[in-house]
Amino acid sequence: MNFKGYETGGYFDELFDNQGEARPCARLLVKAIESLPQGDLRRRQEASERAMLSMGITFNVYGSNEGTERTIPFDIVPRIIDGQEWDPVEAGLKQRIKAINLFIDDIYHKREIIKDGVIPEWLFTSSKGYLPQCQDLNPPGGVWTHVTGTDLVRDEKGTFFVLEDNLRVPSGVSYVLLDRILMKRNFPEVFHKSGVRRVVDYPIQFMKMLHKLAPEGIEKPNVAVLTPGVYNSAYFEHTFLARQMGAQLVEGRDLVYDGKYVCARTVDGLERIDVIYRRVDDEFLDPEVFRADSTLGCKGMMKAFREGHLTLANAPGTGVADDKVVYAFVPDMIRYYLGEEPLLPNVPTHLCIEKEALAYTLDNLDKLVVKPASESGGYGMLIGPASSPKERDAFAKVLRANPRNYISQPTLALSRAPVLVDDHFEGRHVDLRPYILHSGDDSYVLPGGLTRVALKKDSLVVNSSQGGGTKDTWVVDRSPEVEESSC
Amino acid sequence: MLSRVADQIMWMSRYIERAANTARYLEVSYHLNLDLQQGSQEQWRPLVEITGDMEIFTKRYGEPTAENVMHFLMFDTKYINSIQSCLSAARENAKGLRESMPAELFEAINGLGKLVPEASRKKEFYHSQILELCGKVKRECMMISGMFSEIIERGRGYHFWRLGEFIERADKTSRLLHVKYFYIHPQITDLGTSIDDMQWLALLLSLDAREAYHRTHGLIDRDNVIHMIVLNPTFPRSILFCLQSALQSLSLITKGVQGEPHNELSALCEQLESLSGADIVETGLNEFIENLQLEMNNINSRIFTYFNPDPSLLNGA
Repeated sequence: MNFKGYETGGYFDELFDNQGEARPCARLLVKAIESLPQGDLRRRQEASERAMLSMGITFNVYGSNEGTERTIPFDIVPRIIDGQEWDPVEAGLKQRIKAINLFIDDIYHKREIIKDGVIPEWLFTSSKGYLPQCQDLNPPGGVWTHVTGTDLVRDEKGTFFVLEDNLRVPSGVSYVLLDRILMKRNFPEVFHKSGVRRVVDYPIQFMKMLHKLAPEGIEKPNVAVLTPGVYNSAYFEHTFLARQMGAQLVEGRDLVYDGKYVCARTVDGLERIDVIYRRVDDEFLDPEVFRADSTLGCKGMMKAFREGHLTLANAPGTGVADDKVVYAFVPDMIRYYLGEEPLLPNVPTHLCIEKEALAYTLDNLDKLVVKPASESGGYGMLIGPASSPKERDAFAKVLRANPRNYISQPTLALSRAPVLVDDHFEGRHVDLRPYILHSGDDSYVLPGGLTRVALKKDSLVVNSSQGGGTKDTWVVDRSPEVEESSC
Repeated sequence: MLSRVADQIMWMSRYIERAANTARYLEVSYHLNLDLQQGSQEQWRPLVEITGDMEIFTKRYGEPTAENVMHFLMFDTKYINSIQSCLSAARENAKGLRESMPAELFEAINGLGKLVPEASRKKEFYHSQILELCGKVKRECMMISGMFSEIIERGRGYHFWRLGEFIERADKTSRLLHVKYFYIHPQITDLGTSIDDMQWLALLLSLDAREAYHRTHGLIDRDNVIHMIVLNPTFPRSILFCLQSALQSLSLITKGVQGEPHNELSALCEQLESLSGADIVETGLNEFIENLQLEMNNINSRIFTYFNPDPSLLNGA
């Protein structure tokens, strides 16, 4: 099995430089793969996929009943990032989350950043994730964004950019942990020699953070993971995290508010819950405050939260910063709250509400990506280079009618990584979602994160519902040169 | 343990036991009907009577025939107590318990969904496949119950499973006996005849109790069969055995603390312990069973209330 004939195709490749040479951090792996007998890698790939099925690593597909469970495709060639390249990314993520958290707290209190004229007021009032019900809330430790999954991409030079901040209930971390288990089985030796930074303690770090941010005076908090239930597409992840964290998995119908605390109904009676890691969206948390028809949360939850008897992770209301127009202002927030220059760049973003930006966007529709500000999941967007003149004309009309709701960005030449296709390797586009746990004074960043890969040839869409898969992501601290000289 | 989780474990177990029991009756009745031939139509009705859902059946199918009873009990996805529906329901409950169950056990229960294959749902296959299907359902359900015994630690989860299983079995055994009453009652002339013997024998067969019965009592005798099925404290499908086992698991769950369900269950056991087969016949089989089912329903709701704290009783809520 070798990489002969593998083409980087003019893109930044995660494992090979543009001369076709393996990058230093990937040399051990490439050597190991090339020394495998023909067909062996494919057998390992298939064995790993079977292992995923039997471990029940599946996601539910909405709208069908029997046989609704599928595994997410997994590619056996890991993506490798040099530790020295990773460190500034990690620092940049910590900086970013710290600023965003301060911004959310500010928005729900005095709104100094608006009074100081750094960002316009319409910005948050028009953000779909802004919840007036959260005004003056004081979550324990001042932390709103306990866990964030920030999507990063690399351009043709290999520079990391932030594509978006998922601040509500980011999913996918279970794949990081499970892909790693499979890869340790497949390449134990390379893994050991490469000095891969560990991800296995993520659930422990998570639990520690939740303990630290428990309501005041609670030393050993009772922690629960709140799931919408078995029909949710990420139910497997919820059960997995609960088991790994040693927290109990609860549904809305298990919870009851006793006038002060949120409690679980147990066979021994009501049991007070101090911290809820919720995988239920804001609007479903408390039918008394948000959607009245919700059965996924519990009446009184917001009261317990407001009065300091409950920690909710993430706090409701964080969606105010999870908006593509607000995103454009994150560098300004970093400067404003921290007095620092941003370490991680945004993708250059034009706000169509600004006259010049709108004109530029309209003139360059065939080159740009235009996204609605408040939608997620890739809905209602235009990818210029892939669109027809007719589509662009139609989109221009929509854009002119409601410019406030749109941003535009240059179409990025996303980096690629080799994937196993039949008996050879081909380059496919990837992105990266690291998970950041924020506990106020400090943050933990999962080394690497979830690499999503667009398995369809030439596709830029990494979403699992559209043919996306995952890869294990290795942040390595030892290059083979170091290894050899120290032997 | 969350009340919902306890409830889900009990129902998962009940649905599996229910499917297995229905498979037992269906299997034995099919055999019986092959031997009875004439007037066989009458012999399908009791099978529906067992379920207590005669009304639903009549509305949907009219008169019971071999085909429509088989469809109703085995395949009907619109009928919540059909074997197919019970197996799906057990599976749904298992999904909600996935994080606390060994993978092997989950896979076995998850596999129940495929036990009644799509292909067997065609009417022309009913007669050729029904016996094999019943056998498969019965074996698979026993296998899962066996797995519970073999790999689950004797904690609360285990005992909620047993509680569900024994309560369901006690109920189904009592219904089975009740059906014999439906046979006897309209055909008083059959009493003491070979048809009567065959019906009692079928009853024993569907509980896998023929050999144990003959060993203990010899020839078929009404009072002795009733004793075997209701009062025998050593036979694992008798009502008394089931209730005693349920009481045992209940006490282990609450670590010896006695509540209302314990008291009522133990009173019912004591009452049965003091009876003989002849006593039951003297009271009237029908009346005895109706009282028994009332008691068991009552115990059921006491168990539910006991393990599901009622939030409306809270101060300030």
